[in-house]
Amino acid sequence: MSVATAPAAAEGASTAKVDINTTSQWGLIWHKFTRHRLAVICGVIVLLLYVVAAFVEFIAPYDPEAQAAANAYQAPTPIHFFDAEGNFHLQPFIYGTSSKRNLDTFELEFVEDTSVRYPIGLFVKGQPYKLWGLIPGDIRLFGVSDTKAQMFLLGADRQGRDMLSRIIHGTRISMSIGLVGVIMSFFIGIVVGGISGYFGGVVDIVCQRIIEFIRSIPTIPLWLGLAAALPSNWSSLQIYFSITVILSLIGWTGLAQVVRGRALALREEDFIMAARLSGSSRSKIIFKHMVPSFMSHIIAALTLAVPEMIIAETALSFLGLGLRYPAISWGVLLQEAQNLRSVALAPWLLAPGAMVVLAVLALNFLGDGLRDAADPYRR
Amino acid sequence: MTEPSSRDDLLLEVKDLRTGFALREGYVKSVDGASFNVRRGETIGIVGESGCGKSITARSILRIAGTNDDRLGGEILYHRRRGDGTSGVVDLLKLPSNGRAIRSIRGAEIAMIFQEPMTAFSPVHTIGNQIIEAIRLHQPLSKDEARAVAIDMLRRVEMSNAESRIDAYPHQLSGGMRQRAMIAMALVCRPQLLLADEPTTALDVTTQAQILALIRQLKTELGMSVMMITHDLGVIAETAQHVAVMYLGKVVETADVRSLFRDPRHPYTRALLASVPKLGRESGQRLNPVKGMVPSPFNRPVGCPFNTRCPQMIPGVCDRAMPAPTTVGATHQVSCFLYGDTTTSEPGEKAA
Amino acid sequence: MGRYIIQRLLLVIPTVIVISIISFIVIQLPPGDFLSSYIATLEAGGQVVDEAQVAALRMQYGLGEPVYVQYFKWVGGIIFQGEFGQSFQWKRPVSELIGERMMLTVVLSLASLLLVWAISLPIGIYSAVRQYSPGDYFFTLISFIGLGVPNFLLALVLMWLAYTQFGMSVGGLFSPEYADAPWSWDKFVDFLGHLWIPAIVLAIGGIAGLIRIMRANLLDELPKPYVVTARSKGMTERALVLKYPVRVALNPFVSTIGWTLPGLVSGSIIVSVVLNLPTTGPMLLTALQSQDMYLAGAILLLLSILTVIGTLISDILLAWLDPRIRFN
Repeated sequence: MSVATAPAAAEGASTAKVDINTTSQWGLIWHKFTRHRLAVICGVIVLLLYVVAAFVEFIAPYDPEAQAAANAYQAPTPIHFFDAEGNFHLQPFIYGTSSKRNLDTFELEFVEDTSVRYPIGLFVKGQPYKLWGLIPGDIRLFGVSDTKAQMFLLGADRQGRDMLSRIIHGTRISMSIGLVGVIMSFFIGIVVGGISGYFGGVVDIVCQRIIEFIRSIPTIPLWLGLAAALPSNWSSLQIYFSITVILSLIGWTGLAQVVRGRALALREEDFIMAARLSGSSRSKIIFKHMVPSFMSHIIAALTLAVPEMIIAETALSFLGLGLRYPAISWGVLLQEAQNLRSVALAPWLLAPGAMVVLAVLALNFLGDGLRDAADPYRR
Repeated sequence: MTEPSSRDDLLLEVKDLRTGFALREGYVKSVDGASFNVRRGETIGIVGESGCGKSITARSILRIAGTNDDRLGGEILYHRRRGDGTSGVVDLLKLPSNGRAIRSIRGAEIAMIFQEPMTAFSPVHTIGNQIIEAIRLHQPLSKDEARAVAIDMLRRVEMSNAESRIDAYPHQLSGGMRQRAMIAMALVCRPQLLLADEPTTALDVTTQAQILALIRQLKTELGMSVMMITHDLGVIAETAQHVAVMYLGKVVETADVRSLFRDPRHPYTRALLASVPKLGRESGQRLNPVKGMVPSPFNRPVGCPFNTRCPQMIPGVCDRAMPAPTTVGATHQVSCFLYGDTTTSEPGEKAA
Repeated sequence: MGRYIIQRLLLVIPTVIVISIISFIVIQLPPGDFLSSYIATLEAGGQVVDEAQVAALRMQYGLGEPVYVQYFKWVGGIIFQGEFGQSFQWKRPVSELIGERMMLTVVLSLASLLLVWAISLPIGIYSAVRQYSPGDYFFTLISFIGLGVPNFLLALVLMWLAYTQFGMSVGGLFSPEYADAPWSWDKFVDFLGHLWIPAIVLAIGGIAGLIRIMRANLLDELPKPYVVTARSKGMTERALVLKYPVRVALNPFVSTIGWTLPGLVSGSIIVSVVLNLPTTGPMLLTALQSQDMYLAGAILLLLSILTVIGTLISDILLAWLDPRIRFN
């Protein structure tokens, strides 16, 4: 009986198809990752979030800036499948609402008018938009085709704007700032970490000291300080990029540590020495042997760095020091929730917070799964 | 396995021990029928390749084989002689795991030393702390009294500067000194049986000789028995009076040391002895390894575990049933169909 | 170990110097200097500004001079005279303004740190020893929630719940009657009553993280040989788990204090803004927004030094705990 079948039999209980002995490293990583069901689900969620971020104009049912004072703080519109007579309709629908001011409390009250049904459909014609600011269109993913009824699935804000549409629009900036910031951190981190780990010795010590300096400064005051320094007359785009620069200037240290750790470990690895001894060229060693060895760790570290950026941007914008009107991010939306009485009146103002939590949790689980899978030869 | 000599110098009887673990990949039978005896004042060597289950056998005696040891089968009869003259027989496998009974035996009556003394000691406590703890677990001594006992024991194991070394951390000692400290810690309560799990494998040859000599000396001084677990036949030849050979979780042959080396019966033992490089051979001659490789414990062969590699395998017999131990000498037993055709009846297997 | 401490202490000095430089740069960044916008505000209000007065102010703060001169004047004032400068906004010395607030920030951060420790250590141990039990899954779930919800969001939600469900307004650290009163026992008790909500809000993120770390560390240590050795000597499971693997797993746990404290100090800023606490957070925010540079600079500097001290203490604690570092 040969030995080759033994390890395969050992794994046989858990997977049918993977032959551990012959799969490539990326194959092993993928295999180990997919065993982590939670991480896979979160990966799908993150992917969906980015798809939404790409197509916000199409997916949001309304224009995020469409104001109507009559709709201020309107509660979320309930979706019905059963009408007032108890009949079931396959296509969900809403009722029109009219507002009345309660003369005792001076609050606006919203009453449903159950006489007319407005079905919710897919691919309805809605308010016109320009996808990415370039491509004009007016078909939206879902909505109510009859414009007499407004569908506020997550309620309306103080100016009568649809919260759901605003939150969807916020996805683009909130999710992308994380990505852009992390990519910038990545470049700084890889360079510093790589140099530090590759050369070792004095260079390493100096780099480490620098990193320690930066890490010992509490981040939030530093962010606040830097963000407050941005001139208030800059355009949204300029502010957007400045914020990402600020965030990444502080965030790169974590990535640098990971890269340095891997580079230091790699220097000692026998397989690198073996590659050198067998005559591989330097670039081949770097690209074929070293890079795959730490790429997976880098990817895991990057994924775990994104939620920090998202929270940071949200916090800054929430305080008014980050993005401002007319930019829409979840943090900007949360500014309206600063007022406790408004929140008491309209709890759906906290909904952008739920999105932040969803994104952060999904990214964290995904990053955890990636980190566990990153070194398939461990254990 | 009854012995013709008197029974009252028996210390430990291991009868058909089985130890298995439920792992994610499946159920592993690490020890699958091990039987041997340990007599008072004797050193028994347990020899076999890596992975044959010798370590787990020793740990099963102390019930520290794993976290979930309700998968033990067989009997381990411990013939206890207390200081007050009373004696009795206890089946160690029937004691509640981690209960008071087994804990009072651990360290005090049966003690164990391990292969890698660096990792076997806690890195953040001094060796003195760990030795004194072993004392105070079983003897009602004050801290100072225990410390004196510990220092005395360290001197006995020939550790220089015992009074200062007792406050050293493991990483501050050399490999040989650490192993001495571990021996001191195990023997400080004068156990009747010392389980030595490859105590010299991690040491260089000179230190190895010193440690083996030390164990031999202490064994005589303290009147205890030693179970020496090793894969090194040389260590067996030097220290053991009796030997049990294990393969894939089963004891395949037991004999006194002379008979084993002079007249090995089991094909596996023969192959092992033949594979040892000998002085005086002409250079250029090839070594004689045991052919084939050890099967995975997840995929045990049916019948005799060695049948897949045995040069004298009898097809239709050896791959059908397990041979029972056959007596071939005064103190010599072999489990092989070449010498007898009785089989053990194992659960799930038909007797031939 | 003495040598290690001295090394770390020596390292603190250049760190503090760099921090002071960075703080100074940050507050200098906004375009224009305070004085010109201050004068503009005065003039807009119809006041006439005396030239001599302006010149005097400029001299005092070295505002017309090159940046590094201003820096040395500022740092020099702090080191030699404990003089942090004047707040332009409040027209009072900075030291007066931040004294009590700084102390409250420290107290709040320390209270949170204690909470983090007291809660995450036993839960982490339990989760590791009873891996995969329902309790373990429950705590893991809570940890993940704690990690995913930013603390200021949590503060918002708590405030909202307290307001709508209980009709309480939970902001602030003192009830109105004690807000400006001198310290007394009653005020202290009132303070404690208000302190626990922000302390918990701040602590949750730290708790979540540290539970996971402790659990992972302990899981790494439990199967190790020295644990088997302890068992073979006849120790009870509980005694040997607490004495050996927990002790070893404690080391990386302690080293995380170094990063927990800056996180708490940092986090307390935004939470303080949300919960309206009289700590340094809200003051820093308004100081930055109105370019009150000496106030902002002082707060930045002090908060950073607080962080550095925290890291130093944690490093020393770690060295003391781990004999492998101590005796090297």
